[in-house]
Amino acid sequence: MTRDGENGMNDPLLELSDMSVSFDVYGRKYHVLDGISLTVRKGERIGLVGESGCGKTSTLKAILRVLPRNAVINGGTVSFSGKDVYKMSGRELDNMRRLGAGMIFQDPSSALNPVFTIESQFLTALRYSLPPNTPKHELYEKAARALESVMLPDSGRIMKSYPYQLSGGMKQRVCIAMTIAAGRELMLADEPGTSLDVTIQDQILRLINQLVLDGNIAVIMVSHSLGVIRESTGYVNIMYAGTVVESGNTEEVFKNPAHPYTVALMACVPKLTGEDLSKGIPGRVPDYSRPPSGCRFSSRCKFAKEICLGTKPPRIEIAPNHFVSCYFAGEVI
Amino acid sequence: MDDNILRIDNLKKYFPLKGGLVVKAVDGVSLRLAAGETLGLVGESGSGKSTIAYVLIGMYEATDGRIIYKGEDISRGGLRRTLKQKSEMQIVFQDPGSSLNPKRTIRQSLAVPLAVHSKNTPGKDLDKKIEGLLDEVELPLDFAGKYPSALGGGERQLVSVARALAANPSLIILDEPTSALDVSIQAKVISKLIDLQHEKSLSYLFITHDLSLMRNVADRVAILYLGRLCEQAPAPEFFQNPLHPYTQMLLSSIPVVTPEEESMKPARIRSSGEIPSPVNVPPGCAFHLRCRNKMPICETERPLMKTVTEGHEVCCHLDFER
Repeated sequence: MTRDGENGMNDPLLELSDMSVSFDVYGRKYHVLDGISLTVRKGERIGLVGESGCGKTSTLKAILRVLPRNAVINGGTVSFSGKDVYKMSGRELDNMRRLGAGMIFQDPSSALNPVFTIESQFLTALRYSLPPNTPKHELYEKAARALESVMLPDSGRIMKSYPYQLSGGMKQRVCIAMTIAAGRELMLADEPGTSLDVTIQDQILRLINQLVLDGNIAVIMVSHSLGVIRESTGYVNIMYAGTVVESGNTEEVFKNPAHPYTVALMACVPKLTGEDLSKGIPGRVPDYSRPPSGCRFSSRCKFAKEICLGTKPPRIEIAPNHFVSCYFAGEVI
Repeated sequence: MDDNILRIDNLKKYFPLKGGLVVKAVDGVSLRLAAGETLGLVGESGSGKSTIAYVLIGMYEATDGRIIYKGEDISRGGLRRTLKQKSEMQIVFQDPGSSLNPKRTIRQSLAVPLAVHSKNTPGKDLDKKIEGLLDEVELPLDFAGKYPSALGGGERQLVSVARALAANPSLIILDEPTSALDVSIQAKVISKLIDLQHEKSLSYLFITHDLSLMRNVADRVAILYLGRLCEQAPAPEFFQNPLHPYTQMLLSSIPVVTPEEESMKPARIRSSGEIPSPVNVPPGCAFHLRCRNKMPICETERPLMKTVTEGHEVCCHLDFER
């Protein structure tokens, strides 16, 4: 797990700085993402973890510039390989999606089209990524090699199959193979194991880790499960209500969580050791159409003081490479 | 002499398919549940955990086997059970979004079981009873007039629990009650369920795929694989000394959040293979295709449940001598 983050010399592959996004719904503005900053370098495994509705998937969509039409960028930048994604021309954007960043989704059954064979979908995806005059047998070979790298050795049979003929775990492997086959640099994995059984999820996560170790790809892993993030990322961002409340090397953050939300969330996770479960976090996520002007967690935080309600807390580095957005970071717990 | 309120003996539920194929969803499961106890029934998708719940509650009729509840045989389908038998056993489903009628207010939803199980309640008492139910699950009383869409997932699930309580049961079947919820909400619902169990000395049959949750909730844990039991044991013993190779694989696959938990996993067993289709259950031990301790006998002969220590039973050909 320490392997990540050692490539500090590399230029960042992806950089989000202070991204803020809101959505217009029937004339009402919902301020969903509020100042998200992330850096991803080659060979890194970055985690985004938080509960439903905290903006994990919106962040991924913002990276690929596939936010829905009612989304408004209120500030901040996304840059991929040094280029501003939101200033790219159509061709540059296409290039980024063809060879730069690709996404795998939570439910492989709905990510694959049920009425086409894997072969036809796979080759379509490859044709999009590779030069237009690439011969078919070359595409086919690339696909077969990618299927092998995701531990699906019987590629001939897989290619002939329809999605319903494959199990959930196999479909997710196919999706991963489609993402990496053309040699993309960044994989955005949106809850890749959530819809699968734990033993299958374990296999998928191990596979993704192996792909990062083998090749030069980086992964942004999105999950609601702290356990998944701890076991499959090197650097973690804890999200709450559209903000990153805490970030740092995964091992460090799980050992010394410092934001009151992180601490409360970890207490809610059932543990094999049988520690007492907490009684949950009181209150609800704030209304995105009228978010608090201060810390977004303040209404549910038992340490909240006057200052937390008024202005947004700064991002404080409480230990090397461990950042917490809280006025009282290090004092609480 | 028998302090078990529920006993299931060799329960089978087969679903015939076209072409003479049969899905053996539950294939010879025996369980018992004592009063005030929580039994955690854990398995992956397709292992038959929900089928067991539906047979118990009477939604399906068992193909074979016996269900004894408080000394009475209730193996017959739900339609042939007495009202009293029905009120004794209630169920909470996984997704409160689809188990609560969206067009009924919470009051209307809660009034149905009251009308069925305590007939002739005058209107005024009915309101009082509904308030009492909401109070028991610590929901605000003004929720009675709201529709499910106005409630959060955790609150809806607590309404489902209140609805189950309305019949005044002694056994509640919880079919993945928290797997649709976020952990912070799950923690709230679980702590409420535990409180209720103590207050009313309820028995729970807790069905889930989340093994780590069982450490906190269950008194005993039973593991199901392809409609058959692999292992059952009291929870502390189960987590300290898992014996069945499948249990070990399951435990080592769970993503955990602390190093202490990491050390509880049985020496990192790589999970491999996938659960086969229940139409085509492998002969012999159902798990042998994925098992790292496979022996020749496993391919041909179905293992029997054997007791290793008091209360710890394993269904495997391996020798577990202490």
